[in-house]
Amino acid sequence: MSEQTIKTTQNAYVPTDADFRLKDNAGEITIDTNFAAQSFWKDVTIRFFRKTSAWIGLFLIIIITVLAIVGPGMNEYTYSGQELSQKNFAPRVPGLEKLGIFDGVERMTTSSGTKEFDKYTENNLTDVYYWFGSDNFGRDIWTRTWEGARVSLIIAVAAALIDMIIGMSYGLISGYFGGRTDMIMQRILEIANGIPRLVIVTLLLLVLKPGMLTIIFALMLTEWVGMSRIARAEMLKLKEQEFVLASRTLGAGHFFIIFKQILPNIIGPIITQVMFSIPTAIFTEAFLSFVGLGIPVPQCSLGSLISEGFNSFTTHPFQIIPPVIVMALLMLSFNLVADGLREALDPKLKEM
Amino acid sequence: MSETKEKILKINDLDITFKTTAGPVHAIRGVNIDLYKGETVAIVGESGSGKSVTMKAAMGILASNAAVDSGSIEFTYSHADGSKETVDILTKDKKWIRKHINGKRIAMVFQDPMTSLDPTMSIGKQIMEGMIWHFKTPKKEAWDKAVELLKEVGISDAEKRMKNYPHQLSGGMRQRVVIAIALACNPDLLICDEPTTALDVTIQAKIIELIKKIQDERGISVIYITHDLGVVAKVADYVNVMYAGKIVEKGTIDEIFYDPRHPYTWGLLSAMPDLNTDDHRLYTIPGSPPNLLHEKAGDAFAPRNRYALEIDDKLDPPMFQVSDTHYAATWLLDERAPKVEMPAELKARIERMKEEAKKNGSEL
Amino acid sequence: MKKYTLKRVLTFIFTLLAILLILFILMQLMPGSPFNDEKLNEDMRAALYAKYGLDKPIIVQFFNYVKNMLQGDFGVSYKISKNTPISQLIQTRLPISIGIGGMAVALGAIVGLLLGLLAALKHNTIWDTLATIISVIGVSVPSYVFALALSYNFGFKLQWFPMLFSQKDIMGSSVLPSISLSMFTMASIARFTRSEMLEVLGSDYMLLAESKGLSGPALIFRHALRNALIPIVTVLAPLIVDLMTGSLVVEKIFAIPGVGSLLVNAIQSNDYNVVISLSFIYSAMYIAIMLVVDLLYGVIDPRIRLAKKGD
Repeated sequence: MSEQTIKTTQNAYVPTDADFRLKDNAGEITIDTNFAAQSFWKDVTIRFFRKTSAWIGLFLIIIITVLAIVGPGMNEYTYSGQELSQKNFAPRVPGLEKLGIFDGVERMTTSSGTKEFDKYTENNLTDVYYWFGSDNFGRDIWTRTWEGARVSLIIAVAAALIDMIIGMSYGLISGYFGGRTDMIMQRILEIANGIPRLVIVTLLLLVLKPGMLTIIFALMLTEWVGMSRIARAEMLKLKEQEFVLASRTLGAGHFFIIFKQILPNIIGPIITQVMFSIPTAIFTEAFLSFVGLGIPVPQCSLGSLISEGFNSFTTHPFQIIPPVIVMALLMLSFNLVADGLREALDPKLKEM
Repeated sequence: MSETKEKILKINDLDITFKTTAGPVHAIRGVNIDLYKGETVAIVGESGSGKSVTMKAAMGILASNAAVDSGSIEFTYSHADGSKETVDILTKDKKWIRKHINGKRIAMVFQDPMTSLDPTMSIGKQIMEGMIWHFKTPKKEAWDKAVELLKEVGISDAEKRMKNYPHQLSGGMRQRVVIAIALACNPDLLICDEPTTALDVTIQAKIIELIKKIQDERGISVIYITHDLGVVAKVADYVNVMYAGKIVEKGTIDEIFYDPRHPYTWGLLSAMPDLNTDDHRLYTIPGSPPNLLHEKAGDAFAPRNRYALEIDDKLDPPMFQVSDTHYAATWLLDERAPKVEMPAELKARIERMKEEAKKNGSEL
Repeated sequence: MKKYTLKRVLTFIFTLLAILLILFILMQLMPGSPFNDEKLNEDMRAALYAKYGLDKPIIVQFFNYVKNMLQGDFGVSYKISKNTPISQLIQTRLPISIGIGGMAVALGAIVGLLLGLLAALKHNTIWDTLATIISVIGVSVPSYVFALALSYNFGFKLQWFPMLFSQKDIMGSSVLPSISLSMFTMASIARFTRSEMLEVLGSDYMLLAESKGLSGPALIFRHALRNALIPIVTVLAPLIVDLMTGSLVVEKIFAIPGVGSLLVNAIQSNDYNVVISLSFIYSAMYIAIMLVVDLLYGVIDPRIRLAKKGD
């Protein structure tokens, strides 16, 4: 029954008599070695980048944004310049054409077999290059795609940011004051929420003529609900905390507390929500274009490009592919970033 | 203490590592625990010492990222015909454990009754579920048995309560329901994981009394996991003190309370607030529990140990025997070590405790 | 529960009235009223005005409006199909849209649920990653992109399914549109199911159930899924709405003679009456669905169904 045998391991250390002295460690024992100070945002950043999908999304957003800025200027075409003699040319990129892709040749599958068209050689235009091809007015699709991306991005980001301000304020005020104010504001919210988003947007654009500003206005009217919900929820969480009480006893006014104290603490979820509402805005704008309420010609947005491309979808599919891919990538990457942000800000460590 | 010393549970050299995104955490580092029939064994320690993990291993409900590196958990039980069988739970797969052990022979009572009951199922159904699952008890019979159980755990209006949902009961009642669920299939061993921590102090006492009553009436063995020495004092026969994944001292309740040998146990006992203290300060154990991600050589408690020896940084102390039932893993018990006495305040407190006990007529 | 139901129904009624009010106001603002047709002379115009009560005070007009709308009398179309009662136009189209929409919901919900379950149960394995990728794509890529892609690949190139809707082959030609429409729903539900299930699977009551000895399908379905379903049901309503909007584009792409393409037509030809009527129908359906889902939620979750009765 005795367990006095000292266990021997491979690298058994044989204790000497000197080892059995008391350590003079009165100073050391009070040091807490486990406490590691790290700022909250540093933590968040680390967690964000640990997620592969998150920084892929971020990377994509950056690339697309850069291209949206410089893309249209990269070649000699403008987004509205028409060259009717050069309609519906297939994509042709110098260099890549040697590889057999992007070589200006269009392959059409018809009922009688595959036919190849090379409008460039047909018209003896060996020095003309349309990187993404040209549309049925002879406009360069590369330039129009990136111009469209620019417009879509501006609309979406503008709408999202304005939404953030309006929605956040609404939610914060509603949550902070509580009681009757909250109840009334929330009822209004429910009614506003009851009307389907697209119905409002559609109706608005029927009354006001479509244009970039009116679209932003319409988008703004529909997205603020989600933002205000989140702001209110966060406010309700923080309202009862002691730092708020402390400020109040020191005489801080309501708006000081709301905007200077609580706001910085809820920036995280708010930014996440903004990130989520951008793809929704892009989608809504594209939808509007599709039904004919989008950006008026000759300006273009990703949605209007898709709408135009749809008409020649079966004859010249290459025309619709660039804007579709760019838009899908944009929406995907914003979603990924928003997802990553959300997880980074609110980790649920379920590991032990 | 029971005369028939029949060993029910024997945990041998249990060693468990968790795979986390921050690296491997060596949570259990060689734990040995014995449990005899009819006994109440307490496992005491700070949060993170590994108390729950050890018993979850015995129940086969460890998290999926846990890996048992070595050791065995031998459980002895009897079949319906009376024959006895001993199995090493760690060698069995989850399905077997669920079918033969969980609920049927070993049952667990969890810490927070608010979250351990399914909010969408009536409590009657939750009690009956185990019986129907294990024994295929017909519904009517299960229902009657459930009502009996509710009465046994002290819930009035048992029949009406059967249809209630967890959110309709108070905290204390919920915990009683959890206990009823645990007893539904007549287990031999009840593991209580901090059963009273989430409850009010007054309810705490009632729940502890309830568990004691059940134990007496049913003759089951109980393992209490807790960090509250006050609870231990009331219920335990035998105490295991755990620190950083190891048992650092074990003994009968008298031995641990009146003759503690490990500096950590001294710390725990000193830290108990005591109304009689003349001392101006409240004692706390300095520092904080070690981060098991970074294992160091030697005694895990050394960085916080006022009485650490040089060797504590180099070699982990083995279990030294103090008596037949009392063991402590501290180099202070080695013959070569200097004679170190427990702190004076603690000594005084223990003397006070002994005086009170004598006054109240108990034996030492 | 009663209080809860009452509150929800009241909200429904109020919202409906508010919607009608807004639509009514918009109607007044619409440029190009139907009564500016040059072919009308003074008397005819006066007669029209009298018939539609436009000579009465605005409040009365509003009441009449509400009455008419609720009875299904939406007025007549002016551009698309001159003087045809709008209700007639809608009658044939509504069942088609609801049919395809219903298929999309069912498909999306069931597949989404299964996908989410799979991802949660096989957490951190290749199945989880796959399911997550599919969900993220499904949520990010708009339904019409899917419609285009599916239509091109499976309709045009492979010729597995017809590219355009036809009444003669309702089942077959509904396949591609339903799938396109369902993608968003499916992906959203999959994601949500996954996260809810993960949370439920890690909860204490699952641990207790396991310690009771339960395992396998009984454990998952009886305890986990039931708890996870509650929040999933709550997101169902907005998803169904998104379905309605997605249908507009999908109907156009597949040439489905449904309510969506009618709306698109109306917008493009500035037939305001039709637009407003359809907006009303959409809104009414939306809040009706929200009401149903809310009530359903109250039934499923006992915490709402039974108020706290005390000890």
